[in-house]
Amino acid sequence: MASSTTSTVYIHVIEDVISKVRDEFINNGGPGETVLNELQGIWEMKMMQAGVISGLTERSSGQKQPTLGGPITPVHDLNVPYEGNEEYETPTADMLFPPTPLQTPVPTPLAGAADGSMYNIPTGSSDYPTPVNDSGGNTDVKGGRPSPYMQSPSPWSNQRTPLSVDVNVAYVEGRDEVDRGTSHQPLTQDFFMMSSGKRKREDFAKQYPNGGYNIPQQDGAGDSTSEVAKAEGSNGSYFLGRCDSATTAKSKILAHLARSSSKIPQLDGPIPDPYDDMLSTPNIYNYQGVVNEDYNVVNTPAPNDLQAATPAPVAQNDIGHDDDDEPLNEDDDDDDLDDVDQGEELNTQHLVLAQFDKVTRTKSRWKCTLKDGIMHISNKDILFNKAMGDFNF
Amino acid sequence: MAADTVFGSSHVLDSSSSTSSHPLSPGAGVVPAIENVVSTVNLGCTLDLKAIALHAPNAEYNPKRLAAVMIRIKEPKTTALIFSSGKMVCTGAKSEQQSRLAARKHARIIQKLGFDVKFNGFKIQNIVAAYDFTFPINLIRLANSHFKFSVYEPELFPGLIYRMKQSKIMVQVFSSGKIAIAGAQKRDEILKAFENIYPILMSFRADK
Repeated sequence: MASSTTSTVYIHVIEDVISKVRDEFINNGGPGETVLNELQGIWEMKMMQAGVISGLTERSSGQKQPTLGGPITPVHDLNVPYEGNEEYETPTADMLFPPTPLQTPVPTPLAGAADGSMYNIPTGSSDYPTPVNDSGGNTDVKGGRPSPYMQSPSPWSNQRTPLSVDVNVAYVEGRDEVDRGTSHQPLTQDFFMMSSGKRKREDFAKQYPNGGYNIPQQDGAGDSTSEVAKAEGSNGSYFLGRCDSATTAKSKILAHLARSSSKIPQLDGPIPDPYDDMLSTPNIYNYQGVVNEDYNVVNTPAPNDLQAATPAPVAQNDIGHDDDDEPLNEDDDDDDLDDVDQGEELNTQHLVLAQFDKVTRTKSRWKCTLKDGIMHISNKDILFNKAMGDFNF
Repeated sequence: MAADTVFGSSHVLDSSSSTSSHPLSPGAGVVPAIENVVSTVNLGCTLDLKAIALHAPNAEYNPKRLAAVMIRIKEPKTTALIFSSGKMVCTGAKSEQQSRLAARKHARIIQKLGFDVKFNGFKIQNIVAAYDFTFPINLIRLANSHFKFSVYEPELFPGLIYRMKQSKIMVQVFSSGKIAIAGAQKRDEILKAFENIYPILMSFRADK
């Protein structure tokens, strides 16, 4: 059954994560095994509610029965897959446990993507370990890599659970040296960020008071070709050192990911300079407050400027220009712009959430090479290692 | 409108060797087509470029390259550069009215993000027009005889750059017969320049 592949991946991810943090939870005065089991139960339940996991054997006794509700709770935005129930391909052994890491670039037209051929995730993709793949051992985990991150956003959007914060923070000790040197490796992390359209922007922004370095990504590409994710690279690794010790549980998992991936630096495009590049569109979502104080200028106009400006416009108006300066009452028109927002519907929204390798443009022709992404198209969840697409804007 | 007044008589010189479609002065209605209009406007408030880049649809921001957010809209198909000072440059429109409309749409996008946006001092800064004479032109002869106005360095640029002495308009003349007129801030400046260059180019035809 096709859907089992995605479901399998997600299940594997959950199990892997839980088992890896088990030590943290149990030893050294961590929250304890009960909490861990509860965590797992809640996680699985939510995944089931979203319809992406099927056939899950009841793991933690005494947990709430997973309800296979119809797709979606309003909470679940894009990030949570709605239904992974139908895969286009029947998973073969190769797909599930590919021996070789990462090959199979998948040419995927982002707009109106065809179902077939996208599903490469199981094929040895690099996922956390892009580097590690050489051993090819991480197949299970790998596809799932997106999902833990995918999962967390939904709790975020609802309530802030302690989990959500942790996931994003990730990366702990040991990561520092590596990352500092290699600077921004766009690992994981942010790509789950976010919500399509403007809906949750403010919510997410508020959820990350910490220096704003986990700023959710807003693609804002609300066009028909909105599948193209302006997936921005994440500099998640950069923040490893900032984790609170309390969040080590999750961070350990991510640390593992990070470490393994650190062997081969993953970069989105050119290595950015620490300062300026933090601000550029690809990296802006991991923007650190330290660097860009300039950009946090308050929006209120300087009073002096306003007063200086007004005499001139007034003079012009006297000449008889039709509503020149000032009246920007453009509540009329701009239908094009408004339609963008109205295109959001929970169930039928199509989106691609990935990290970008390269985004180029010639006149109005855009070409994107993406990696490690999740697509939610026609209510289906599709994971991919590599995707290439172009579109016209 | 202005186009009609600019062109006075539209007599055709039969004696000219040129084809009837290219008399020494352009006939009525023969005008270059406007290809690009660049305008600026002041939105009247400082802007948070990072916030704009994060929340606006179709926004590009690479502070390392340029300290402005680039936003593109589809209708009119234009690109706007928005600076943190609140100034905005709108390019790509095909007419002055479209440029103004596009600038307003861009300003509307910024306004929707919550900034206190005005629309001060909208001004057309540059209008670019193109025209095809359809006959080849001898640029070397043209450069030699009009050396005071022409700059022609084929190794640098294949087009001859002709600057009118009475205005700041620049005309790029190519040997294929296509020209580009740029630097005008008003449509009639374009038409005037076109009318001036028309007979000059006619006399430097490179075909029989």
